[in-house]
Amino acid sequence: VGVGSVPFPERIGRDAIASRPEEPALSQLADESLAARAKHDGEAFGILYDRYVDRIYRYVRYRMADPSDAEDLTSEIFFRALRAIGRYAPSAPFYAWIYRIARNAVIDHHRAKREEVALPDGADARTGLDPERIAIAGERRERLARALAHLGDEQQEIIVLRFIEGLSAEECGEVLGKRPAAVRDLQFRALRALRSHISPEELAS
Amino acid sequence: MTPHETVELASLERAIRSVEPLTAPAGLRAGLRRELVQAAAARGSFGLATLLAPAPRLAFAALAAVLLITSGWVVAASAPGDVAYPVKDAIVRLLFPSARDELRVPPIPGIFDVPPPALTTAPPTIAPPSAPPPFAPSDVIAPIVPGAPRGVPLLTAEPATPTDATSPARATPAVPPDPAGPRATPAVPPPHR
Repeated sequence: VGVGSVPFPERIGRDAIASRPEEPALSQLADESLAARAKHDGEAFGILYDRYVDRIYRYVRYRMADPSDAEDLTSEIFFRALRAIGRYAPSAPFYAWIYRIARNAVIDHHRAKREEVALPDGADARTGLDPERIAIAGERRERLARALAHLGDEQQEIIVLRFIEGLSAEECGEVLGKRPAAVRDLQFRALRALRSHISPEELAS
Repeated sequence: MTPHETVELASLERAIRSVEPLTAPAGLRAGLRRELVQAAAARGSFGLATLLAPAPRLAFAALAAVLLITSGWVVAASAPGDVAYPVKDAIVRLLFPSARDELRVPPIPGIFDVPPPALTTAPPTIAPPSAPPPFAPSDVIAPIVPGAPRGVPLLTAEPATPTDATSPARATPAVPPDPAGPRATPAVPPPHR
């Protein structure tokens, strides 16, 4: 993704500033401060939404069969977060808090529907890209998702969080409630399992 | 793990990282943001409606509390014969069944309890030699008539002759005392001659 050395919350904040100009005072705040203000300020919650909507959608989309289900679940996750924002304790990182909400929502959804995790076939929504490139990118995502669908829930989750979302092992540990060493172990086993379904060359082409 | 496998896993990791990131659809992004901000603003507002919303529930709770306290007071203050007393009695039976049973047990007489008058024995008296014995086997306590000798019971049985129904009620005439003293009525009548 090209932002590996930048700490996670700051990285999200920078993306949000670049993609959508916000009120300077609010947009400069860290996630945790914004979450504290969001308890009584709707616009602060809006900025948090801007920072996290793509990541949460991506996390959900790679684990859903149907794109419309992914959109519905993304909406539900943010409404759950809005209802629970009063109970958020700023001592914990905000990204871990909202990813945990997303994780629980996905688990609930799979329990309810008992469906196969299928392929994110959607095209990149960003404008200004070459249609051919968009099609190639969609095809790669499809191959990756098809391979991911063969893994267990935790292995899928660690691949998405570590390599697609770009979280560090420590950050993944915060989300999953595991120690970094356990996260690395899980990541290694997930990569080995994934390799039996897709090769690096297949994914890169 | 072989070196070849390590290299292969590292290249797979790089390939995953190089996949174009997926972004949320524009429709979801804009529409959901508007909804969320509106919901957050509505949630955060604290106006008159917020204050009045629980008013009917508060009023109902207050009314229920007043009714409960009043009915409890009426039941607690009821006495036997009142309409509410059976309720109180039932509650007492439910809550204190042993206390109700204790009330039915006759009290055990204590050391200093005064015995009932019927069981009181008269102190022993020494009767004068000429006086008849104070008690006869079939004796009853007879009224004392002025002028009559002490210790002579009066017979109060009706006279054998029928009384005139129209005549005014008269006091039962006292039978003149027998100089020989009181005699016990023989249980068996004398044989007819």
